[in-house]
Amino acid sequence: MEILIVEDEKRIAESLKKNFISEGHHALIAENGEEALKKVDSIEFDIVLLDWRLPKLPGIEVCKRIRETGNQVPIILLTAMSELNNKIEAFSYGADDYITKPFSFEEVFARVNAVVRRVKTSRNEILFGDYTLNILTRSLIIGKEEIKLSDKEFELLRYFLLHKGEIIGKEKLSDEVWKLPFSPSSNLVEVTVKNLRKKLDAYSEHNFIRTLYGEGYIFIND
Amino acid sequence: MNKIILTNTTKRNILWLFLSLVSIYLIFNLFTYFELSYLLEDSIDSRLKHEMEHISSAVGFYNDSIIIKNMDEFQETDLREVTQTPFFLKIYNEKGKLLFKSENTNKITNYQIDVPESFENNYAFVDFLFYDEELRAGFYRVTNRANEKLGIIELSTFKSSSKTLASSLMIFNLITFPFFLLIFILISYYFVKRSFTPINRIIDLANDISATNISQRLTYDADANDELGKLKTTLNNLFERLEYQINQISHFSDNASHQLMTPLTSLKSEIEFLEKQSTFLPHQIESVKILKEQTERMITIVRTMLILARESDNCDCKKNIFNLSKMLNEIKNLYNNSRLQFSFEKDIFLRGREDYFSMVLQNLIDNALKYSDSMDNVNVIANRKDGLVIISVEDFGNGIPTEEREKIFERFYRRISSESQKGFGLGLTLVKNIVAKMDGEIKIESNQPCGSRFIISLPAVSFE
Repeated sequence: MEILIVEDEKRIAESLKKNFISEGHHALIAENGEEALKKVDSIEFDIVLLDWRLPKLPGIEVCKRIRETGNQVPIILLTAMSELNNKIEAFSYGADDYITKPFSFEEVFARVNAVVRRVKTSRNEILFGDYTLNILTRSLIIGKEEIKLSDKEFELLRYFLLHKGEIIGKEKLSDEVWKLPFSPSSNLVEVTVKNLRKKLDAYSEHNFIRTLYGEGYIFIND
Repeated sequence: MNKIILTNTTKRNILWLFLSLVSIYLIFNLFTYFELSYLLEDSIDSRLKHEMEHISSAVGFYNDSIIIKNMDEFQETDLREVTQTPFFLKIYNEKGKLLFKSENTNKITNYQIDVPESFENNYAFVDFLFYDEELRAGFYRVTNRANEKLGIIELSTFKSSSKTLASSLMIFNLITFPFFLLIFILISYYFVKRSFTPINRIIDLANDISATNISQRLTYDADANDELGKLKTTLNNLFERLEYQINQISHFSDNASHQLMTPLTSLKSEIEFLEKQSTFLPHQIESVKILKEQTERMITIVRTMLILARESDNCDCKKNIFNLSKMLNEIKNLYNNSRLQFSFEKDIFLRGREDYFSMVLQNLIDNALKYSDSMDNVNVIANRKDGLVIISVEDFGNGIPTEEREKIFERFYRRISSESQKGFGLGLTLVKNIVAKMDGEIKIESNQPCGSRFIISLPAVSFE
């Protein structure tokens, strides 16, 4: 694998590099964001390990700029404990995963492999339970069956999948999925959730979308 | 009882106010009573005086006898009968010889009053008791124009008529006294409560500030110059300083932990790299192992301090729900220790930060393993019960004495009996903080037959 380590702490970068090399991979180091952007432009990496706290150009900014150029290289953010609250936040910046410091090399190596595998099989598919949601064809597949989803059902499911384990209020769904201000008299959200739930329940025993009284919905995968 | 009343400010104030009101009431009534008695006596005297003047004008003295000039004056019923307000009349000459007595004096047994020695403007008054009746007697020295003493007119009447008024006032007072007491209690209660209302509001606000948000301030309407206004300013200044200090400590810990994390990360990766080298001698391998262990210990300490430093943060972790059963499964695989016995229901969901709660469980499990014999089991149990999720970690070690049970959650507290064990005294503080943030509770019980049981109860997530 061709790995880019973006880290201003030389010591950490060097030992990561050493470890990767001893596992038989190639690793390059970029000490700051600009250098990282240049390297990503000229070399095709299998994965980028990107430090969150970089001098001058912060990690998120680098991440955004890489994505803006259409580059889909997998990115793992290296963060300190308190900087990110969950995966969702990392995803929102276009990263594929995050690792908190201090990490062990085994952990980094395992995550790198997992992300690379996931992205290689398909960047455009999200797996949950026995289902596969294809982002490009906007279809939901279970076994050999394809389940037809309306536009809004698809958007809703995708939103839920990006926010697994998080309670989401109707107001937020209305805002984020429908891009409409929430009106209490409208049951748009409820009806779509109900329909989507019906479709998922038809093929699986697992109750993916659950309701919390007075709070909203939550998507539970485990 | 007395002690309890006196230690409670509200009750003490009510008592004082009540006693003051009662004293004022009693003083006022006594004063009224005496003043009234005096006034009534005075009015008897003037009636007697008036009557005696009439009589003196109706009689003339002549040696040892008197001449009645106007008989009508002696025909009044009050002089003949024992009426409600009778006048008992006796007329003496200067030598003390009785010259005349009214008809009604015969109707009561004979009485004799000594003539007072001193006269004031020819008048004198005395009280005397005749059987059970109190009487008032007036004396008038009759003189001629040359100021020669001619004789004495003695006129007596019952004091009872005036006495009745004073005593009925007294009775009225006694009857109404309980009623007044009740009113005084109510007034005292009302005023004390009322004057304490702003203080109670301050207490509530101050509690709210320390519990939720240190940047909040007291806001109530009060004149800046009165006591409540000054109290507001003082307290707000205090909160200001507190907030600053807390933020300083928090920043320091946060910063220190972050600064430590970087070298620790690099230390850890380097050690991991070393581990992979095959050229080490056995004693060198042992050294690397120790290096790795100690580095990990340090990382745990720093990570714990980092979380504790951010405890004042109001993270939005209640928006997240995780599967505890799945987490317990992961922990089971992570430890892979035959001493650990797990027992939990499927699909127990909890609200909070998954990574933090995992640290809670690992801390408790580590302690249980550490403080019990290496042959004994450690049980980890999770169940749902009455809307709560109950998680217990029990060991069969030496147990924790009752008096230590609260202290072990304090920062840097190390058990007296645990000197030989390694630890840094922050683990259980972290456990307690995280559990509290998740609206839960943790308590310690003795395990039977030996050891201790840590029980966490958290609100269960209920889906519709």
